Amino acid sequence: MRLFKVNYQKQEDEQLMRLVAKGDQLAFNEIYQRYASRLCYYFTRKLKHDKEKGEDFVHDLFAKIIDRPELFDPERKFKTWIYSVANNMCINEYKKMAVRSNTSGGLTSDLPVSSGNTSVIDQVEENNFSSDLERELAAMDEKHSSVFCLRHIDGLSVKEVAEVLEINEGTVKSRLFYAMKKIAEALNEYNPKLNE
Amino acid sequence: MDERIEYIIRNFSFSQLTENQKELISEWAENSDEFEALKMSLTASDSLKKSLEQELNPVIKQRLDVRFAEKYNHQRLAWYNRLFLFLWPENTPIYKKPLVQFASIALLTVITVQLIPEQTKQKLAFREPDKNETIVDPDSLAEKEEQLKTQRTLEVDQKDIESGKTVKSIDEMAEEKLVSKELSQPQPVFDGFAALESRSTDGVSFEGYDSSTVMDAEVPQTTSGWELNGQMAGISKAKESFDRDDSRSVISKNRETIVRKVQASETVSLISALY
Repeated sequence: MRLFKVNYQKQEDEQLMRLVAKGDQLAFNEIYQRYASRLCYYFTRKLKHDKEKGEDFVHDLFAKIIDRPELFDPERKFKTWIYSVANNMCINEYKKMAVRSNTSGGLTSDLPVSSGNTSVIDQVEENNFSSDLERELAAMDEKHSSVFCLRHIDGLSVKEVAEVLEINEGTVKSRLFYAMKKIAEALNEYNPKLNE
Repeated sequence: MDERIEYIIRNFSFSQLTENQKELISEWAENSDEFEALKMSLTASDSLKKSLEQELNPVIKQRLDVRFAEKYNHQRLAWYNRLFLFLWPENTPIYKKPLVQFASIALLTVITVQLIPEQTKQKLAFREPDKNETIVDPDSLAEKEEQLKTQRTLEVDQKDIESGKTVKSIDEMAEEKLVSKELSQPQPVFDGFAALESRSTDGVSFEGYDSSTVMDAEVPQTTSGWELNGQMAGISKAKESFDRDDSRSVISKNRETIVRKVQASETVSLISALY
């Protein structure tokens, strides 16, 4: 029993998960608020830019949190854990896609799956930083783009990225360096000095 | 990318960098173009991060809320949980929680109930008397009660004394009457004795009295009829007065629950006086 109102925004992720396990809806809302959009982007990017599929995966991931909150080990950091789960879900999906491609009569999974609903606004904003970045990340190798996204968009540290992807920190650093250089080259055209 | 390098790229321009900072970022950017490209990459990632926070279908959250409710609401179906949720709702200030409000009301009620009798007592103490009503001081009442008690005890003592005298006077009177009759005429002895016998039936017992001796005694034959009638009338008067006095003495004796016994010496003296 709590005598005073809990400020969920100031709570750590791990503490929120303990509250979720006790059936605290507000704690769950806070967790969702923090991670849903990032994970949606993570899934969408990893699943060939299929946004609907990305949203379904977000739903499945949070459904796992609701159904079996005990799967989270409080000794671990929640951010690392949830991205690990997301990464494993993507790997499983890749396997399923590979099985489907073998039975689909020549259709490859390498083709990016797009929603096909590219709006006029999106086309207008093609020159925008973020859209160019996204385009570059999509064109980039998966292992490099995932490291970049985890580090600079999802805000994980190098160590945490290494934990999520189950690779060495050195590997993370080298992949990050490569991805950064690649993106910087792509975005260099927006350099005002070069345009002058 | 190290956090220090990231901080330098985000917050400084290449011209502002010191030699140490340039050495630190030399691995990432050797000239200002590369430095600006890195800066733009980080800015682009920040803008992408911001744009992502606004893009999410609300249907996902609704579905998850339903799922959460299905998972955890069965625990809340218990009546005590619902009662607790009613009494102690979340996300409300503590003074707005019904449990706190009920408790405060109960506390106020208890305090008021305890205060009300004291107020009535005070009002009773300061009540103005009626015009016809006389105020009686409880101390004076107690004194009066004591006085009454003492008066009663005195009266009782006086009555005792009086009753004692009456008994004595009855004895004396009976003795005197009998002695006077004996001296004048011997016949009333028998009636006087009968009166004494009747007196003994009224509760006074005689000790050492033998009625056979009395019965064997000779009755003188010299008494005439009118004399006997006069004697009998006198004796009946004496008996009436005796009975009246005797009944009074018996009542007083019953009240005192004391049974007075006639001494043997008195009986002997009485019998000797009769003969």
